[in-house]
Amino acid sequence: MTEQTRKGFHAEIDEISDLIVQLAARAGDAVARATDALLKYDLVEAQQIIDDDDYIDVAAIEVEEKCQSLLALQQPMAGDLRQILAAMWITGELERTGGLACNICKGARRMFRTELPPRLRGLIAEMNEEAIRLIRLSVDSYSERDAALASALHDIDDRLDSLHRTFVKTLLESSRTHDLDVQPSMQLALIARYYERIGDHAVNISDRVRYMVSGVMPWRAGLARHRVRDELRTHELAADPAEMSSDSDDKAD
Amino acid sequence: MTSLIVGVLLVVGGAMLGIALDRALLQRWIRNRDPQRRHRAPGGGAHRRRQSARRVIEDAERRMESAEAGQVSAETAASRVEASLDALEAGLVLCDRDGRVVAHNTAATQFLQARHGEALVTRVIKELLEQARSGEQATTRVELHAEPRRSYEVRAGPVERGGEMLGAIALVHDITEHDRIESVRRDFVANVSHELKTPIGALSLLADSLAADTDPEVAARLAGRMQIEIQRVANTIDDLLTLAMLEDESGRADERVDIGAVVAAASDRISETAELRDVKVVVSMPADLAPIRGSRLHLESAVFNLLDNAIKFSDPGERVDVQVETDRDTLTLSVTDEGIGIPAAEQSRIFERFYRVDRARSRSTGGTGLGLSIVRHVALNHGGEVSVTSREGLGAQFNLELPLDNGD
Repeated sequence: MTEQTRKGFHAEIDEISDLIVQLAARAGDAVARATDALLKYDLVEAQQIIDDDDYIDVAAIEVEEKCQSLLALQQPMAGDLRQILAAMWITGELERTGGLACNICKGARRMFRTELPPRLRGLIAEMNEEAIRLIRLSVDSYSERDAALASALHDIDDRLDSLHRTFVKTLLESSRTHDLDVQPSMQLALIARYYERIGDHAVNISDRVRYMVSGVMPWRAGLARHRVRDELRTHELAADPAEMSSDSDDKAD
Repeated sequence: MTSLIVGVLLVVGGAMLGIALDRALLQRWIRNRDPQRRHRAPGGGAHRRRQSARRVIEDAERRMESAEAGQVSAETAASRVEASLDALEAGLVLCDRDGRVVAHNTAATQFLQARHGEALVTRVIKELLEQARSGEQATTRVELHAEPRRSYEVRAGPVERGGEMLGAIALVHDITEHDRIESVRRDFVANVSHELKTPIGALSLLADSLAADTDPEVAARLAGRMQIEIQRVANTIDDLLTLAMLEDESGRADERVDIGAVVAAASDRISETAELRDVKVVVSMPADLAPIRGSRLHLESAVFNLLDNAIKFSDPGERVDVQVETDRDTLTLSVTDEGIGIPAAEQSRIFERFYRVDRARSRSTGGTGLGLSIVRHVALNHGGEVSVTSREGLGAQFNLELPLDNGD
């Protein structure tokens, strides 16, 4: 408590945001390192990255605990509360990003001794760059509290999604032309998916930034749609009660 | 706290300025002081008292002046130290006894306000300052793997004066270039011995077998293999000599060279290899090009090496495009292939002597590993440069930029 009062609430919040920036730097670096290890067939480095992921976990827990104690001791409201909640969520996304970098390394391990066709290597390098760009942009939007940039991330992520599709298409072609076995093909498909997921986590971060800045909850769009549909259905059911039984039959399938 | 900053700045600055300080200046200063001391000794009676009174006043005045001057010079010294710290390439961060950052120079700003990869350096700075405050020196390397790749070295140590702990200081050096040069040097030594030893080793084995074998058919085959290896060494030595000549620059002729003729000659020389590998070379360039000042022979060798490289890394059925474009004072010759491409991390290194992206492949393609170094040297000798853009699996484009000779 003494430390709390001395440092002041906003100094604590600033420290949390510094920690998040550092955590993002670590997570982004892990992704770049994992790509290097994958493309250089470097299993020692891959293992090192997996081991180093513990640092990311520790850093994430550090942020979480700071947030928890601020919530408990200061009982913040409005913008302050949103900032702390956003920090907790963003930390989770970054921790997952680090986890996905590990998954890339594990994939590299499982397909060791497979020479990757050049085009697939090129696409992996491109997905890596795009994923890191998204992480950086999401951190920019967080540090600058830039809701406009945060909203743009959904669209910016389209490029990574389309790279992912191209990769899968090329992979299917390569498994014929380059004689790729099932195991490496499967690992490659998964690895491409990991990059795509890293992009999604960056987009999630940007959603939390929008919430932090303006209070909107973009991730609730699905809930809103569900409610509207629900409402429409109740209206329809009220109009025609016979629908009820067939609807529950559908659900049972 | 301010006194700590000024104090530590003075300690650091003093050390830096100390190197530059002229010893002769110091000696002159000491010599100037001596006569004043001698003045005090002689004299006697009232005259002596008057004199001594005047001396006291003069002395006091002088002391006041020098005190003022001292204050001013302390201020200018502090600002000078600050300016010189800002001029340092290395980042410098100072913290006080309690670990609070109290000063940093301009170069350190990028780390203290870092948002992306450099935020990792921020963390290391803080950790090392913490360690240094407990009295130990600490050094850590930080490598950033996302593009643009960078390496930093962070050093920290305690700042003490008279046994009292004032705080800690951290220095951040960007060692990216240093590392690059180091790896160029290391790889060069390894590669040059590999390139020269491999064919020699093969020759020695083949010669042994030849000596032991009496079957003329086997002997003929062994001799054929020996010729291939000898050709390989000869090519390497030729290329090394070309490079040596280019580095010397003595071979640089000052003629007006028609680049159209150069491209025609180079593509003519390569046509046989291209046909053999089933790669089509397509040249397109404007009709009348302004000339280039330099050596026709060297330029032809550069274009030939670019074409050779493009064809080597292309698959049968693919094409290599040569395009020449000019703007007001630069000519750009680009050679584009559809081959396997070059990994991003290797692109900055392929112009090094004997550097190979893929050793296994290079042996089968039979290059010397010096072609692109020759291209770079020719470009530099002509005041131009060569660059590459590539994506693995989508080919590569080499751009050779050369200044045009506009007659001025």
